[in-house]
Amino acid sequence: MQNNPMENQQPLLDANIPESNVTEEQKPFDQLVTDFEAGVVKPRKVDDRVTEILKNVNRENLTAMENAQTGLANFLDKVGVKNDGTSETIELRKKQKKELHEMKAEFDAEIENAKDEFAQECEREEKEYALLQTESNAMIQMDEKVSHIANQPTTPQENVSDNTDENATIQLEEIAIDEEEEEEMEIPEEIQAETKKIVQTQEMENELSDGLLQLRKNGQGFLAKPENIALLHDLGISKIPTDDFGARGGLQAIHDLQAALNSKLNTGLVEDGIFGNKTKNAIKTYKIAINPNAEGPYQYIGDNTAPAEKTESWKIFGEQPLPGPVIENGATAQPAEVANNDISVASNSENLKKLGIAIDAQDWDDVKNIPKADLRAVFKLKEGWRTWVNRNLSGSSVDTATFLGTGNETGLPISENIDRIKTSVNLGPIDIRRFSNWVNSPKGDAFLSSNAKNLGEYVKTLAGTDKQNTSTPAANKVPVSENTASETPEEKSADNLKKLGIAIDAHDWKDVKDIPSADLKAAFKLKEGWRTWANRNLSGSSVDTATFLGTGNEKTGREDSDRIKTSVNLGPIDIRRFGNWVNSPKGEAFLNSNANTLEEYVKTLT
Amino acid sequence: MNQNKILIDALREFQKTVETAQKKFLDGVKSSLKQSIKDVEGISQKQESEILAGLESELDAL
Repeated sequence: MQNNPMENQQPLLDANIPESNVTEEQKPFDQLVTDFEAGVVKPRKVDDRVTEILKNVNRENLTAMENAQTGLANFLDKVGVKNDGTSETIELRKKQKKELHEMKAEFDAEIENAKDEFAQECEREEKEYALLQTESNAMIQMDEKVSHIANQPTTPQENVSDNTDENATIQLEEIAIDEEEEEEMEIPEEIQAETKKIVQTQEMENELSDGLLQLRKNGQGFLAKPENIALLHDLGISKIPTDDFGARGGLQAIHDLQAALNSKLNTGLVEDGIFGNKTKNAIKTYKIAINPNAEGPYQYIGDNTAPAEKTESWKIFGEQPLPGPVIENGATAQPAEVANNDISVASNSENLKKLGIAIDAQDWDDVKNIPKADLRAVFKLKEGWRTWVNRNLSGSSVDTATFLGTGNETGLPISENIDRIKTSVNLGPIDIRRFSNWVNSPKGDAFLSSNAKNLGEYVKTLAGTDKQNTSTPAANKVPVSENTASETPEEKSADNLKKLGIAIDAHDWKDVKDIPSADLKAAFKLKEGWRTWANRNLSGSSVDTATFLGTGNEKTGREDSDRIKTSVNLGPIDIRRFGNWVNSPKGEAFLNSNANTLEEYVKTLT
Repeated sequence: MNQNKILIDALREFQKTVETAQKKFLDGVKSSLKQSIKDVEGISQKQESEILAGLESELDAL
């Protein structure tokens, strides 16, 4: 050693190696995520950006290695160690180089593993996402099944063959299975929020129903109360009949509207009450769907043949604005017009359920106007868009925007197939994958076979296929049920029933919720089901539910009949509705609980 | 959209792995250089201590 290195004023090392916390300065992944969230980078381009980032990382690493080697050489020079190409310095540098390359190889291996895991994670999550979509569809189908069975007219059992019962049992079993599957699914926050909103609205309307009963009795007296005015405004009702026409005439006009909508759409509005959710949503929905500028109920439903005087009555109904909503100082604000575009999420959800499409209700506005021809072009790709793209676009993972877009990002010549897509598919902002489960479904085919120009038009025709009784003119019905105020909201009932796993109509929740558990337990003791039991114990006759549960002793021996009469008191409830529940874990859980009624029990469920 | 969130989560995880691996690598490069200097022969123990003491801040800055 000839020189004292400490005397050297120059840095001994010339090895500019990046700080190990380099990512805090550059944050290239953060930028990628930001760009991705902002839509600047499409899903397909994420891989490219990741590759780009890794290239930079690799470049930094190579530079660090070179600098380390240069640093060592400089050091050796400066401390005067002889570097003659044969001495230990050669070995030293070789050793360092070997070390650096080993570290680099280790780093590369770690990154390769991470890349594999990243790709697998993406693939796995994509599959789970697709599965969620499928499950969402299954949920909709289950709802439809429940609704379908609930709408079956009740038939006296003497006139029904055993076959029918078997079918009903099969259907109930299917529903029970579906519900068990559904049990494991978490309810999305949007649905919870939507349900909460519906329940709140329903509660508010129940209050209003009381007021409307009074209105029918006392006429304009109802409107003298500020709180009633506020309720009407909250419901989007800003106009009332004029004095000349009278409250009765206004209510009649709504009745007419309900009857007209029922005849066109079979929406069950008569049972819904005058200002029920269904009526409100139907008016708003069809007002927009058919004629945004409609002034009267008959225009809403596109019926130009309505008697002039009825259309006129609606106009009269709309001529007198309500006082404005009450504000803090007791004054009233000016009434606001009902917004034409105020289609509720609930009604959108209904439409989507009818179609059987598992997309967000909020997106209904985006899809309802898609021309059928465009969707047909999509549906021709029967195997689903991704499969088709993978096969035809060189197996690349092409995102929707590219698939539907104008670019040629695939690197292939624009083939006939790509042209076919570009010219035939124009779904705008809609992710085509949302329709993937619908493509081969009967509902998708039914839509394509229809005369509807778009989904929005088509969905209106679906309402008419519901099996609800609309033969009774609306005007002959009592518009507001006396029981409305005490009824549990339909949506809440459905929710409760789902929690319980009972496949009965939500409308009937009010009938079952208060059944004493002791009575249900007695019923469930007939494990084999009521008909089997009755057939065996009641001399093999086909005994209807009323007889089974009733007061008569028409065909039975005294002992059996008394046993039923004293132990089972389910009122109007068909015990078969609990058939699949008897042996289920949910049924057992209820029976083992301390709850006195189903309603009490459901409150303990989360 | 849910799927975006899934991809972002996967990206974040990947980012963490890359950052950790690079930190390990760069720290290793510096350690290697330090060790190489220590391995230089012909320097006495005292000299080596003096050199390394003088180099410490320089090395840490790498």
